[in-house]
Amino acid sequence: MDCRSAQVLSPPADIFRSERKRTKPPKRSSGYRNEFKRVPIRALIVDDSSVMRKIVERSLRQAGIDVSDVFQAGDGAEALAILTANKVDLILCDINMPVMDGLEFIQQLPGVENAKGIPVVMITTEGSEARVVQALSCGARGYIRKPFTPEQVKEHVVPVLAGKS
Amino acid sequence: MKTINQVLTADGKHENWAPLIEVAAKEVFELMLSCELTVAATAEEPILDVTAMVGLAGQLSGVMSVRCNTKAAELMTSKMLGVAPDKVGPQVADALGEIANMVAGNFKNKISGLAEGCMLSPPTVIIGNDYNLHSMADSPAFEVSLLFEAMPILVSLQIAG
Repeated sequence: MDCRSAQVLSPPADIFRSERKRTKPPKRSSGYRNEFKRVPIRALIVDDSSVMRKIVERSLRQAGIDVSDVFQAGDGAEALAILTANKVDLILCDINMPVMDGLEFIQQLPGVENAKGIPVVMITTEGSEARVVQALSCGARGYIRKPFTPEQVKEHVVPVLAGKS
Repeated sequence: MKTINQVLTADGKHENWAPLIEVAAKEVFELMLSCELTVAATAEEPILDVTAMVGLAGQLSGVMSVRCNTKAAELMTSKMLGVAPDKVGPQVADALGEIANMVAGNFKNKISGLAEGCMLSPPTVIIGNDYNLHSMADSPAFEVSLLFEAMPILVSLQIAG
């Protein structure tokens, strides 16, 4: 199966609710519909750089994604520990990390009750197509290459959130 | 199969790499720090006391480094964190390491075959300038001098022979 198809826009899920007053048909922008108002999400950011975690969090907010809570982990093992006690709506994860890298982390996710069905988007400097395919086949729903802009974060994250069920 | 290092040694077709390093660095600063790097006029040797290095291994082996002074490093960190320069602390090394990592990654992704065939090491950051670096490589180093907010930055790639 080509897991890359997971990035294709899916219908908005319960994280968006309709504004009924709007009369004109909305334009589609970055793969999500403007007439849906966002409900705050809880995000888990996994990166061994605390500076990069901060940048990712800021980019999410600059992208217009309403984030209520942000959990941070320095590697995959820390992230798994956080997920055993907390529920999140989105996971953003680096690949190259000490202790447990991003690929091993997403392979472990099906065994974590709180992580079932939670979309994972990889954020990494790794540009290898083989690593991208590997990450997607392991269950990642999107892939953002560093350096990135908030617009690129929006472009990759919003469709993934919209498709979350 | 020849490595890129061997190809370089054989035909010396790497004169385009310095511009690629420049573009890679400029893109990182533009996208992640929202600021534009300009090309520096080569004059006197600046004092650069923060050095961030990332190793490359595989089809290309060598070291990519980003050097700057402390004030520039603190300003970069403040821009990355979105805080005032006087509020940055121990994150300077982390921030500079990430910059070097992204410049190296962005550079290798611009060269056909390197994205797949070249791995990056975790970054290493040296604070201070009282050291001598001895490279065992006999291949040329590519150096690009740039200005970040009027402060000098030196981005270089030392290829292992």
